[in-house]
Amino acid sequence: MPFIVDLPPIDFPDENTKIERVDLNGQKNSGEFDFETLNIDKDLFENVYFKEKFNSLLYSWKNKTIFQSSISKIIEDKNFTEILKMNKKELFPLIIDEIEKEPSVLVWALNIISGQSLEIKQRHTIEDVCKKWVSLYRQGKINIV
Amino acid sequence: MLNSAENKNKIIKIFPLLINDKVFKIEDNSPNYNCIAWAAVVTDCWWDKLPMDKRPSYRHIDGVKFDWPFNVPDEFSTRVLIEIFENIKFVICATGDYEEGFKKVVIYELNGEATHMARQITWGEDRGAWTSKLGASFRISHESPKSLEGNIYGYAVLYMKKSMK
Repeated sequence: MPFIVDLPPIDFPDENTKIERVDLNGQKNSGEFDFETLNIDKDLFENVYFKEKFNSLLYSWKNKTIFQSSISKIIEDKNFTEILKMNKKELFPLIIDEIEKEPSVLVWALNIISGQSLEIKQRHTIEDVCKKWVSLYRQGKINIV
Repeated sequence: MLNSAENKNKIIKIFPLLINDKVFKIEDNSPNYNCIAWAAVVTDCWWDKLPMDKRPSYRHIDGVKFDWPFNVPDEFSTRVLIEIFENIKFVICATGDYEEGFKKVVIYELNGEATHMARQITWGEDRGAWTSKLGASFRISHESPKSLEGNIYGYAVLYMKKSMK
């Protein structure tokens, strides 16, 4: 049974992927590897990988910045900038779910990745805009290109 | 529950001196304001450095207000925090000891950089203790400024006070 040691980013070229086979005795097998034998459902793999990557970056970002009072330090954190680089279309619903569960400054990511700012004339709090983004998204009024 | 042992343990993990703090409790977990705003009793916006021509910023993110008041320089530093609080009638004082009739705030620094502010509680059973908003996260009360000292906020370095009369 092959065991993937380092899961690559989903857009990473196969030829640069590091793969090792380890048998039941813990012996590593060398030699060429035939990708076809993996037989992994690509969509499932990508979905699981994407969500895991998001959750992992989010967890690290929260841990590093949760007690931070400087906006620039929060949004310039490496984990936050890595989140921003993820595929927008798949990332958006994950952020929406997250700020629906727990309104937070993660909502700042929506402005940055969508390039959109809600047209709210009156003054709002972060909790208000989290609710607004969730509501508009659920109504299908936010288009992510 | 807000003041649960689980939440308190999360905070203690970051600020270990809170473990022996007799006043420590969680009061809020709103993301709507940060520690500097809370030191000035503001709960509906963040106070953080902003370029002069963008103050207060209502547009930055969806109508949410961000401010860096009183035309102070665009800089998150102890010097500028002193200037902001002088604008609301605070003056530098020697200690954080409770003085009847005065409200106090404290500035923390880590490696010479301002990191955090806390405010002294002036009423109720916790009078003389301190209240801190921890970034976008929990707001807590704690026995003394020392309870938050460590490798996140550094050390309480400067106190200011304001007469409540």
